[in-house]
Amino acid sequence: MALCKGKTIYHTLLGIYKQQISTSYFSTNKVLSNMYKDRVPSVQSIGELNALCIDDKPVEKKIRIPAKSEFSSAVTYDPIVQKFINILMRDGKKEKTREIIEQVLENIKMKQIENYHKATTDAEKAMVVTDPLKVFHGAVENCKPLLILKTIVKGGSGYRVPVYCHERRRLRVGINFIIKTCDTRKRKVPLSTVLATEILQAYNNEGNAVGKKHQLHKECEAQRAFAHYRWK
Amino acid sequence: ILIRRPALEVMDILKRLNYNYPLTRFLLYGEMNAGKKFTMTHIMHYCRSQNWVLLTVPWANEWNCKRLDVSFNHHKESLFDLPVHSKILLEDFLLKNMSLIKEFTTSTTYEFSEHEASEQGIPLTDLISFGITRMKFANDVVGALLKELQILANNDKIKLLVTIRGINSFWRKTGQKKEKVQEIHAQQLTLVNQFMELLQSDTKNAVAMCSTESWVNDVTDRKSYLPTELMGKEGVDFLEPFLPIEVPKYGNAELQSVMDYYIDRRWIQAPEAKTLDGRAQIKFLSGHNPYQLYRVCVPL
Repeated sequence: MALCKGKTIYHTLLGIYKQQISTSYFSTNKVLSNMYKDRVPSVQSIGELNALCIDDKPVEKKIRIPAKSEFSSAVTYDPIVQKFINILMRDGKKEKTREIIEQVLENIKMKQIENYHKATTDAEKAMVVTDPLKVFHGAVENCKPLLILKTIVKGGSGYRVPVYCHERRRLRVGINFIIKTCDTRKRKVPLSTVLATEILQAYNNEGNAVGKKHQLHKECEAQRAFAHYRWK
Repeated sequence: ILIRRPALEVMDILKRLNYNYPLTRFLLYGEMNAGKKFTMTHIMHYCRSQNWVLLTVPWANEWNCKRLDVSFNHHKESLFDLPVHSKILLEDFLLKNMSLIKEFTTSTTYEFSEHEASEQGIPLTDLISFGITRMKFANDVVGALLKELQILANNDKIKLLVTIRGINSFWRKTGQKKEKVQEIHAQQLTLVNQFMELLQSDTKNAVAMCSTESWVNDVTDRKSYLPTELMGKEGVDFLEPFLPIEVPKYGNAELQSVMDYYIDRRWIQAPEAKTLDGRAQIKFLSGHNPYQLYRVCVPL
């Protein structure tokens, strides 16, 4: 009895170890999660692993999903930029949106280099940020809201309730704010120039996209009487 | 130091040439975006510092593609005039060589039509400004200018440099339109005939630099870059005794020095791209092409 129990525990542990080596969604440099970072496994290859469990009981296996074609380990890859491209894309035309965003990064870089060379003193030069990716990350961070309104139906009528949410949802709301302020119908100027000015303003906490976030926060404060509706 | 090797070769040859012999012709060829225009500007800058007179045609396919006015020629019936394009050429020439042409005067009279003619002994700048204001006779003024420059060069007064970029557009069909005329070939334009006469003449103290480009063809037809394929048999027979110069892609040492220049000028910003590993990735992605190197480093 004791031997059988040990065998089943051993099998399930091996199965778990085999499944859990997967790439996480938002990490560029860390392939293994933090748990397995410093451990040196005693089994070095998959062949040795398979040789250990002789009668292969069918453990519940998750279906392995193949990686999407946009992931890569190149120098030019950034996961947040990739998310932006996916949300901007329409009708499955990814090459067109990728070219738009290349233009946006080029415009940001050119403007900041101009400001760098115009600044005379050393102290001013150190304040100007010329890295386009840093400006991009900073602008998206400034546009993320802290709370979100969610409709909860109680007693026949719906109330809008302020609620915490996951990091993923906040990213998507932040990116949507930036896109919807720029993508108006009556526009005679290409999208890349409008996006570049908007992102530079958002990095300095000005402009319309950050204004939308402030408006959301004000509405959450107005509805804070219904905050207890979150729990039944 | 960012000068490329073909430019240094041409400058070396120009220092040792014997200028009593007639025209020498250079031909630059190479793959797309390999840097032919860049070497041409280096050589033009060198010649300007030695006080040469520059005659430049920045893009010869404009005469084929850009649709501005077309008119019939007065003197010969089968040729077509391009007044607006020749006006642009004359304005460009005046701007570049204003300080060098001040003293020279015309040697003979030129008749443009029955009532109008220019006399002998007018300064050259007056001739050119007459061509700019009266666009109807601009093409004839260009022909007169070229003859004057040949006479001046034969008398050992000036030195001439003629640069034409995209010479393989001389043997193609144009897209210009005129009522009741079906198709116009490039050999039926007066501008093309005037430059072809210049290139085959026997002037001393003159050098001609041409380049064949694959940009001239359609989008689907741009794979070949060798001059025999681009110019055809007629072109090679026309330009027969010429000096070919190849403009190659980047070598390994050139790539490293260009990337150092980009880091100094703040075009490459990401800290991952400044390491040895990152440079090897950029080298692979660009394929040793100068223009692709520039485009790969845009989001970095």
